[in-house]
Amino acid sequence: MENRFGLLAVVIVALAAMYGAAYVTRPAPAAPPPSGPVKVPVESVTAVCPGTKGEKVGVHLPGALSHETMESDDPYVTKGPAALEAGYLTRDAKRGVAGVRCTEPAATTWLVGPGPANAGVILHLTNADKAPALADVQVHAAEGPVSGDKGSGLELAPGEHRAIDLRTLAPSADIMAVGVTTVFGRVAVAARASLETGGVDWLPSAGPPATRVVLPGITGGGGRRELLVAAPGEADAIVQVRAVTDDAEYAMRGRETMDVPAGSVVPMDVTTGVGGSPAAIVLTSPTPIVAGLVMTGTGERQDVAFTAGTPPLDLGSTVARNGAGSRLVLTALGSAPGKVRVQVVPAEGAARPPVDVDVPPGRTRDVPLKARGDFAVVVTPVAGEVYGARMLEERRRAGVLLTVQPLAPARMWTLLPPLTDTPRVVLP
Amino acid sequence: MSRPYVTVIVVAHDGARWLGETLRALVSQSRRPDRVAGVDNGSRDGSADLLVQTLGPANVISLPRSTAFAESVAEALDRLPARGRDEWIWLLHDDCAPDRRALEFLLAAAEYDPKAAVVGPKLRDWLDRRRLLEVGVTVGRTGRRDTGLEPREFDQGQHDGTREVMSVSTAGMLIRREVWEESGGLDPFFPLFRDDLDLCWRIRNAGHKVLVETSAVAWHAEAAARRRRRITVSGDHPRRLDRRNAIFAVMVNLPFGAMLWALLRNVLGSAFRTLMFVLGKQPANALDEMVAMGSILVHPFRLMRARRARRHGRKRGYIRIKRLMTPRGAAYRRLVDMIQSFLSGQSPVDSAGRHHHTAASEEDDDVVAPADPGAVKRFLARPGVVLMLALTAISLAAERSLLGGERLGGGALVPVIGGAGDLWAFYTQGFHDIGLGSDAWAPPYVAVVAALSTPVLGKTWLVVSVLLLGSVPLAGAAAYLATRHVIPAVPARAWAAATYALLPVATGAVAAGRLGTAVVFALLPVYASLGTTLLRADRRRARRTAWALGLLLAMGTAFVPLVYPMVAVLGALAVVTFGRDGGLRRRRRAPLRDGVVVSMAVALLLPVALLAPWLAGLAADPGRLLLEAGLHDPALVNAALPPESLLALSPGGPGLPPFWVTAGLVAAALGALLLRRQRTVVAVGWAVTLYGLLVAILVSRISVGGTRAWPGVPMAFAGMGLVVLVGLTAHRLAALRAGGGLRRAGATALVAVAFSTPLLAAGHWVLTGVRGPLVGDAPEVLPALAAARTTQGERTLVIKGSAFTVLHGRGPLLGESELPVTSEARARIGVAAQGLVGGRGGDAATLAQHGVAMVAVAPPVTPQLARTLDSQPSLQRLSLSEAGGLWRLAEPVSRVPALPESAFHQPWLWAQGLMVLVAVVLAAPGRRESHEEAAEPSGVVLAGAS
Repeated sequence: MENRFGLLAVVIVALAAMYGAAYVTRPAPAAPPPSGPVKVPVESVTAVCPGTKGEKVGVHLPGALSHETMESDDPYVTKGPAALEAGYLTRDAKRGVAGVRCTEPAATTWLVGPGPANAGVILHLTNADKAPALADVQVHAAEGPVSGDKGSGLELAPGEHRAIDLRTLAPSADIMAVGVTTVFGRVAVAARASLETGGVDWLPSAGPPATRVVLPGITGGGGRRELLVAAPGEADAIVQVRAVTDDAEYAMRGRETMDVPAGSVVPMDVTTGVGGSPAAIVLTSPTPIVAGLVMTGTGERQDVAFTAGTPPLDLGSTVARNGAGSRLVLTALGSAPGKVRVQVVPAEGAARPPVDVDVPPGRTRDVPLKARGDFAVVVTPVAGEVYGARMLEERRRAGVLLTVQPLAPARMWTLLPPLTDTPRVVLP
Repeated sequence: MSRPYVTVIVVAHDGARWLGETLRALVSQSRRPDRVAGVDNGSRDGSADLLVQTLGPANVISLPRSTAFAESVAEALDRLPARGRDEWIWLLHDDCAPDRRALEFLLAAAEYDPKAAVVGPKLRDWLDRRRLLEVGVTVGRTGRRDTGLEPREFDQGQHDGTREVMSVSTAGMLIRREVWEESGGLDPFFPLFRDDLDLCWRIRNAGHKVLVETSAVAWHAEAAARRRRRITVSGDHPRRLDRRNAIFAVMVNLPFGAMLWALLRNVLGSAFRTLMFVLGKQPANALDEMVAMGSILVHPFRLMRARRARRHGRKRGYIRIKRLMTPRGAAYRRLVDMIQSFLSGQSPVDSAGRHHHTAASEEDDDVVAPADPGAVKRFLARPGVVLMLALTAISLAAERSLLGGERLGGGALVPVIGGAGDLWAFYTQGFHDIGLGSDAWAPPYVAVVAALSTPVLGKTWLVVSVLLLGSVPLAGAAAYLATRHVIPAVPARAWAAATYALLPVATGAVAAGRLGTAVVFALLPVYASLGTTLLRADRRRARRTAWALGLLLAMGTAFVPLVYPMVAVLGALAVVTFGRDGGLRRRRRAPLRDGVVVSMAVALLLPVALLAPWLAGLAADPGRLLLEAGLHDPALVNAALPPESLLALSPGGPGLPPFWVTAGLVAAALGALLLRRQRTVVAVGWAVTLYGLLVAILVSRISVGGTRAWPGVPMAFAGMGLVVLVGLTAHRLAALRAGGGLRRAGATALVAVAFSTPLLAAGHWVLTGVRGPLVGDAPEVLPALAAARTTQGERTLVIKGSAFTVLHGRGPLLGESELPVTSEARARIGVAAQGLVGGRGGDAATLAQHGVAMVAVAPPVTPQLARTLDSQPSLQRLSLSEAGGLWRLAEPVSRVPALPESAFHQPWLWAQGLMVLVAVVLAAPGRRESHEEAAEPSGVVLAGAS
């Protein structure tokens, strides 16, 4: 007779074996797939600058720099493959030197600088696309949004350019932040500010409102440095301000924080805070802010330069038009040392061999560019979180002429949100 | 009035068994006939002697064996000179004994109504003397005979009374000789069957009346119709002859307009009946039906001649005859009756009456039907029906969140849209212009769903809802029916069915919208049942079962491909183990039973043949073998399925009960291992379970397309093994209970443990409800505006969160989302869509090149995304609201051309359809041959003595 428990034992052993097999082969919990933005190449670039008759525009494509002279005051529009970069400089011995970067048309642009009460500010809106655009211009001043409905609903036909004197929108603002947003279509925005005290420059684009804003490229030397912070949202902002100079990273005494009421622009004099050394300012705030900085030169005729909130150099950057007296002001943030590769591309002849530049963490470094004539400078990130600006300084008898251009991301790569092709879209 | 003169003509043919009594009855009539003539059609059993003894040699004539009834009567009348106006002929068959006063009553009726030319008696059964056979007969326009009686109706005087009828039988027919001569008597074209109908019809058309006199009774043996004697009068098969004569009699006697209509009805009806006979595996009947109809159609001149002969008074007479024929609604009523009796579990009964060939197969048993509690009540009282209703109620309660919605969808189920026509079109297309376009074979389960939705007016949603939401009651019913011959005790069967139907796999499949698993789950018990039949039944039945199993296996494979290898392995093992004759011990030696291997091969190769090109596609990408119908979503699978859930038969994913629900089943199955008897059953059950678990472990550890496969079907196998083994050993509990004392308590505890599984599963399911990704009202993802703007096949890029897809004027149909897409176009569209969302320039042109004309964003639309798309120079906003946004491409959109389908595609579809048809015919249950029919060789019936 068979054993009564034989079968039970066999089954239990088999079950145990299966349990063991399942236990051994049990997969480790899979890590969630990365969901951050992905880096993809740019297909095509459109660069738009306001026109200034007779000026020479530098157009940089990887490895080559060319120049083009503008025939009229119409906006300069160039289209090309990825990494196209264009810009030009104007020199006016009386008023100063000014530089402008040709920008990609965008849906949102912020500019921060002196207001129409202090300076003549001309806003240039250009629609370079084939579709019409409808733009709203909103001017924020120290007392809040001031332009009302006057600036909204500006229609721009394809190819249309419009220059707006901001005095018509906000005559009494002494400082301002201008937001240009489109309802549909895209516009390229630029603004030229010429101060009544002398000095002229183009306002660089300040980037969209963010909770952390870095303003690189504060030049060393004398002259007033005025920080302008705007909180365009619905909530007041309490902004932590830190300075990163060539030998320290610190909160400025007495200027650790600033309160920005919702919708308004608040100035802060940081001249003594940075103490005449090349520096960057780091702003953090729980609510999104935009910021810019006005640098005034020294001397009899004081030139002015502007810098603005700028993203890090992760995608690389190029400045297409430089001249003698150009230098880079690089700032490394975070705990890791920063390192970038700098290459000078002259208008004639081969590109210079690239030079690696180390930036200690939490420090700012001033790197002079030893090149003559017109040239382009290409900055490629190697390591660390590096921000920077190109500064151009001309010492004249009457004073120092200067212009600053923050190193904006090159249009070679772009960060795109992840998007996967799946039929699960149709599911509820 | 003068006394009528009555001539009796008795026609005999091999009827000595009845003739004696018939003649005695004739002799003892209260009204003595004036003249008696006997006709003997070459009898070999002494009928002629009986006639001679009773009637005297002068009154008997002998005719050859092949003489028809009509000829016999005509011959007899020829020899008997007419005796004035008031002469009547009384026709008697040798198996028809009239009551003592029959002739008296018949004559009285004839006298009472001077217009009556034909009077017939009430016919009762020869053996069961109270049973009614006929009180007049009528006919439908399709030639169907109608006695107006219930089957096996007893005579309690309920049909009594003298009245006009369409026709009466020639057995006991009293007819005025004058009218007989005038109408030409019986038509010799009808050697048997329907000669009486034709005669009476003609007599009625001539303006006379046909009456039935129920006071006159005759007992009729219907010897010919019941095949109590062998006869030769026509070479044709009687069935064929009956059908031909029926159609012919109706065709020649109806007026022209009515005839055309009846002809059309008959042709269509005949085609339908032929088809039914073919499906019912009665090729002989199908042939008869076809030949009968054909012989009418190929002889139009014969028909015309016969019609010309009957043209007098036909149209005039039809007005009166119309109301005597079977009313027009009778056919539908009959159909309803048949369905009702089928539902209440009885064989369909036919009330056509016995004196008729097609009714000849009725059995002669005298079982008195019990009091009829009503068909519905009887149907509802069956335990299987009660179980199914209970499971349906449980399902409806648990699926309350899914009911009443507009669109069922979610989980693996694409929201169900479209009708059967759309599905058929999708299945038969060679190139699918959906998404980015694909020329892959449509998944074959689409054809199954389309075929199922066609009879319900193309309502795909209904079919999907029934299959998916009703999978628990369906599986319960399938399990209950499948165990019919295996588990005898009804409570054990009900327990097994309920436990199986409520396994975690079922609730998991419903929650996750896994249509494939739901269907296969209901099919698995059927596979098991058919598989056992295939191994055990006789060769013919096994072969038929093999075709059925092959068909259903193909259907299951179309939904869940994994079921095929699992069944194939079990089938092959079963053939080797159980396909031998003899007992368990001797089996190893015995050779494989004849035909078992072929039957199993048929069952296993048929799915391969039916699904060939699609299976080839699967073979090229073996990972898909582990997937199933519907979308493959990582959220529906437990990526790291813990080992303990495998032992609790839980496949992982949404909608599963906790482990203690199935613990009772596993415990009971472990307990069954301790039995001393039925160890084979227990061992086989556990082997199936271990096999299922092993496959489940394998499947759950394999990653397909970055996501683990779902081991639902292997778990169903494992559960089925446990349920069947516990159900099969359940009757041992009765013995245990009888033991008393501790054993009794133990048995009760075991029952409680076993019943805990279905009860807990049902309770848990009802309490928690279906919370899974499946929802009842899935939103339409494509905005109505985009659908309306799609006029020339423009594509729409639909973005939802961080995912997108390309649609084509409507959401995807069932199965459309599973088509593989050409990866190159897909990659390019993917980058372009990403660029579009990220605000990169130049992507709209790429999209336009691939035929994308619109970009839709499903809610919620983030302001940032809306602004990005608004600022795209090539996009124009059409609408933006909380219900989503829609943009139009300003670029010229190029239409993507449809690829030509392969030349192989259409022929293959035809071949596939043909194979399915052949398999259905071969699998359909054939006619059950009754013993009576099988024993007696079918003879040819004599017209004269039926």
